[in-house]
Amino acid sequence: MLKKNAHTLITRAKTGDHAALNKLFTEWYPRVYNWGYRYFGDEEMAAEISQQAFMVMQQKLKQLKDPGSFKSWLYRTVLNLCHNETRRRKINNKAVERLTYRSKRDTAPAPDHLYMIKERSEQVLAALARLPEEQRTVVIMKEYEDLKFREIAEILKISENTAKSRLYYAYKAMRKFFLTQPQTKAIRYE
Amino acid sequence: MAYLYGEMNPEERRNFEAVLKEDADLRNELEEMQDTRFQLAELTDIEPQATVFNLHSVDKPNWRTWGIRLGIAASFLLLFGLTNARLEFTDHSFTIAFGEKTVDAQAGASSIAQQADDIKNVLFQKEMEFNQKLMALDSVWQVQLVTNNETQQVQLAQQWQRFQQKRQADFAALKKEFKEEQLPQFAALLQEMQVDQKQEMQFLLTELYDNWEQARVYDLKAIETEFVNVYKNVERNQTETAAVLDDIVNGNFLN
Repeated sequence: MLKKNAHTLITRAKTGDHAALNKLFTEWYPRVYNWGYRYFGDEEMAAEISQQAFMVMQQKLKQLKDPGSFKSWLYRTVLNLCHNETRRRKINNKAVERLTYRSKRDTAPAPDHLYMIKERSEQVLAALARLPEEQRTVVIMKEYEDLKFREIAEILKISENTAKSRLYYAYKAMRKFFLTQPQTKAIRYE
Repeated sequence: MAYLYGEMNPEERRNFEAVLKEDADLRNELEEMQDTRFQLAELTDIEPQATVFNLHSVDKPNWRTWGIRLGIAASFLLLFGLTNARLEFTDHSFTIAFGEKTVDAQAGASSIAQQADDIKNVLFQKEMEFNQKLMALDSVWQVQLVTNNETQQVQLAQQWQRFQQKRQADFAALKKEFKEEQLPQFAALLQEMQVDQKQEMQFLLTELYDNWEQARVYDLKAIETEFVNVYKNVERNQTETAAVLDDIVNGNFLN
């Protein structure tokens, strides 16, 4: 449930109140941005998706009947923007190649903590990029956006069991990928 | 998966944990899932690139206003085309005038008298110059008569006499042709010629203007047509964009 302030903000934004729209998007921008980043593994794409989401919000928010369903509405919008963008640009394979290349290069990293974190993040991005879109989407929604299975099912218009199934197979695939990565092996045997 | 994320109700959780206790493979799989979640947690949120979102009022192009403006412009051009409006040029400017051109009769008469006087003065001046030239030639012949022999001098004197008579006859004819009483008519004729020339010039300018005006009307019509086409395209694009946005919002791209 949205807090009262958020509800009021969305109601104002629905009427075309620019200040409310700006505030609303400022609040949600980091979530949308990180969604785009995890989905595409690319900050430029994350910014692109965020801006597209902002445009959709500006033009279509007035069609949202229940301000309480704003979160689902926004995630569904972002999800479809990502899906549409992927279809349009066909960047999925490029992302995999790029991230795979990043993860394979320099297999003997310096023992630097920040560097290790960066390498691990990139490995996760590579694992996400390898997933089919529908699995990747569920992982992002569940693991990073902390949505309930019920909410995921509602947004994706699938059953809760389908959502759980997609997540299960996604984790299986990612685990398999992680085990092939030298960095992960090192972590495992620490 | 619901257990992994704590989404089971107490009864479901108890039942699942009972099974888990007995099933080593299930425990192993659960550990693997938790391990994968641990890996995923390595990818923390990043700080978004700085971006400035600032909405402001977007003024849509007011096609109605443009249409009115074009209509006014076209009306002006049609006004010129359908009425006897004309351009009158003066030394450093021009005026758009309507109605028949009026002629000031008194001014016209005084203008004719002035021109007649001018012509008289010119003719008088020419006569004076002619006489001066004759006198100069006469003095030249006087000198030659002194230096040439008698026969030659007689021949030259006769030749000069004939020449002088011819010139005097020509001048007399010229004076007869431009008699003083005829000068006002001659001046009037000249002025009519000037008026005709002026009218011809005005006609040419009017033609030029009409052609220009017609060309501009066609141009304006073409521009108006283009505006209409652009407007239709904008409307179509907006409709298509709205449809795409609807698809995005309604999730049609997922299916």
